[in-house]
Amino acid sequence: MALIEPFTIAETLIYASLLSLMGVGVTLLYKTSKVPNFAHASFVTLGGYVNFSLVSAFGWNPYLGLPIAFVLVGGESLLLFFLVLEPLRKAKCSVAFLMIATLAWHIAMLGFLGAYADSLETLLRIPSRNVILSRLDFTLAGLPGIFYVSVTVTVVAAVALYFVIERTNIGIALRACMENQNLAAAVGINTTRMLGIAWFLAAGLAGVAGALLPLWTQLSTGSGDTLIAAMFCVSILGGLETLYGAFAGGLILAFAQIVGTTILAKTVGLWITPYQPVVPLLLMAIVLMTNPKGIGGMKVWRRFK
Amino acid sequence: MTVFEVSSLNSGYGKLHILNDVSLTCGTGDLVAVLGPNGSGKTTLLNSIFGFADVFSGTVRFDGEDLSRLASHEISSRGVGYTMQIYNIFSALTVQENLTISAVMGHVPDPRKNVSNALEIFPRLRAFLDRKAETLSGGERQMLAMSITLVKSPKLMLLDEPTGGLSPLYTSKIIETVGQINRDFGVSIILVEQNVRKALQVAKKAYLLVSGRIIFEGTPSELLAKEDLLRLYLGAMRV
Repeated sequence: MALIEPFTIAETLIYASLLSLMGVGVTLLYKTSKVPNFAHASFVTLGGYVNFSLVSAFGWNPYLGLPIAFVLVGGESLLLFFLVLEPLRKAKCSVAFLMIATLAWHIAMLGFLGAYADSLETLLRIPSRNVILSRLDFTLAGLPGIFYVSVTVTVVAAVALYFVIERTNIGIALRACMENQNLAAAVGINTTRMLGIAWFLAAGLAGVAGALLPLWTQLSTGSGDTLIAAMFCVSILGGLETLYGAFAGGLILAFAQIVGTTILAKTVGLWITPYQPVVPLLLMAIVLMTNPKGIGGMKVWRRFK
Repeated sequence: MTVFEVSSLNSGYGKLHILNDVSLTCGTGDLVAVLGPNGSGKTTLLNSIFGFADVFSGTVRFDGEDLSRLASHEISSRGVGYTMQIYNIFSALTVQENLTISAVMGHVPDPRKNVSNALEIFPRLRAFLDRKAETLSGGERQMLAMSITLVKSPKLMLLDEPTGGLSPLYTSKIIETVGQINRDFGVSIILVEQNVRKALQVAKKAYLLVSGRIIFEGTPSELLAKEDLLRLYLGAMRV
């Protein structure tokens, strides 16, 4: 028997795609707002429930909800940014304060999502916890549709993000804001608007990842929470200062977490499997201690750029 | 005719009060030098004008409009350009991107033409258009910083020590160019400078700022005649 089955590789690429979509947003927000955003977990969960609701209540194809999830979750992040973070930023609150504010928002969203899930169950009689949409997925060449769609969406997102950030005036303005917001304002860039765009994009991508999640694994109100360490790990692995590093970070973490654990389980025993969630924390600690700038800080990446 | 006026300005950062009752005027097409020893509040004055410092009281008026209630990007859109002393270029962007984004955000009718005009003033930058700004030398960075402001076709330029840390050769070149911009383009300029003699060669009016207060206002020749002030506050004047 092969050490790694082709299906495991497919699973890994699905997971890598979802992690990349989540992690790139964490990096984008850190680079623009300098805030480690804990609300990213609720962005993912909300995206999942938006898609699940459209499928369950209206019978939509599970892939049609992706753009809706992008827009609605992007909208949620604008509420967080304009109602909470921007007033705090104008009051010159520290980054730690802003970070705690994102955590508070996440906890509030957790309550909202719990109430929403309860409402689905009591009012519409739709089971809404630990749900999965994979039965509605298509199959091609023996692999589930989520494999093709998640990889395609991630590649398209990476290319589109690169195009917007590197080739458009909005992208140049965003990069200017990432580097120096005072100077950006001095040249006439509306930095608040630019940060709003960054929040919308970052949250939208997390929402899309969340919307894809129930096609791969169970969706629950705590789904985003179980992935938050992995999201930060992807961002740190890729390098918090390097936007596109998150895509490489997602791939590395997914391979370490799925392929690595599978190999270990086959070699040292199944007892290792429950420790799989420790992998992101372990990788994060190793990167922070040995190469805090992540992949983006490595010579090979700078040469590639 | 007065195009820019600071009246009884009190400002600082948070609880730190730095400027006390500072008043200053600049006429259309004038070049005004603001001089003073280190820590006198010169940069805070420019930061207060541009919304980067906290204005406690007083007004900052440009073309009759009170700027103190506007966001920094709105002040920029009114035709005020600010070249900061440090961190005045986007190092991660190319030289071309630095100039383009400033021209585009300045909503000038023809951004390419403005970039081309700025490059005529600083032709040395032409060779580096595709290079990251972080690779430029100190003098080239300062040229880029001024060009970033210039491509917006500002009516008023605030220049904070444009010759800071530069060699005498670059210092003369930059000050000459400041005079040229003022003369040829009719741009009003407020120049904060440590090189007193150089600044006074191109200025029409001078202010001496000491410990957050204006203690002299007059023409460059009047200031040069005040040897006691020069000796006490400006030390051995750098040439």
